[in-house]
Amino acid sequence: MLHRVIDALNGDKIDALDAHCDVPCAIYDPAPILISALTVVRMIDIMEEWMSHKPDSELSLQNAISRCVAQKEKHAEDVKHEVRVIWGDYLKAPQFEKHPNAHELVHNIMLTGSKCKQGVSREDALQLVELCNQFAEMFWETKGVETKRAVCPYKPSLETVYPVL
Amino acid sequence: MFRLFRVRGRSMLPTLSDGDFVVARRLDSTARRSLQAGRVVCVEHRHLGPIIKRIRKIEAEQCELVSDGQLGAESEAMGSVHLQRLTHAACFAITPRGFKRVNLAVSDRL
Repeated sequence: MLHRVIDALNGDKIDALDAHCDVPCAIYDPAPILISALTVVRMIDIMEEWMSHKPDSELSLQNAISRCVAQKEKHAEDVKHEVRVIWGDYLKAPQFEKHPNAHELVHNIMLTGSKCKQGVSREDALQLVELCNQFAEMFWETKGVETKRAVCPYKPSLETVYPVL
Repeated sequence: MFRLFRVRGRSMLPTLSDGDFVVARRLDSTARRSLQAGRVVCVEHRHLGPIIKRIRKIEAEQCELVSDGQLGAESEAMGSVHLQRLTHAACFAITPRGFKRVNLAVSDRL
């Protein structure tokens, strides 16, 4: 009753206190970023393998390369998307104060991700993995979670950041 | 001394719902020092603006805030807040179903 009266009289004029935040799930994890970055490297490796041995036919070669290019494109874009979500939704001023290079790191991931989409340079893909490793280390540090670097137990067998839980 | 606020959002569910009104008492420096974990407070947050949250922990002049529900900002995202940023302490809520206490003992899950 009282609630209705207040609401009707001047509810809109009463100062509001926010009890909300943008993303409700609060689930953030850089693991998909690293998997996608590793996939970009793997796709380039597979394409190089295909080019180095004789395919059954030109058509099968084109088919295989096309599929790899499509996956490389998708996973490079996934890296950019997932990084943007953590940067935009999870990281806030307190984390930026602790990690003043966060913006530059994210920007470099965006640029390198685009390079990986445009070309087939393994060096660019390796650089993408390294930048994503640095991003993962920064993320877990904001959570107070220790990390370690270990070679992923599958191809392309590159050093990857894992949380020590 | 007392002030009425409107709650906007659902991060304090089930204690406070979107659209509830909260009657809160203004905090002076003495009242701030007597605050304890579990209290619902109005905060002038440096980055998030005016928010309403529950105190999770107080250490020296800093406190950690927490949402009652699962929909709110993580405590880490809100960061450590200086006690001077706490403007009011919630006394009770006025909901469409009547009055409601907000400072019930919930410290076991803070």
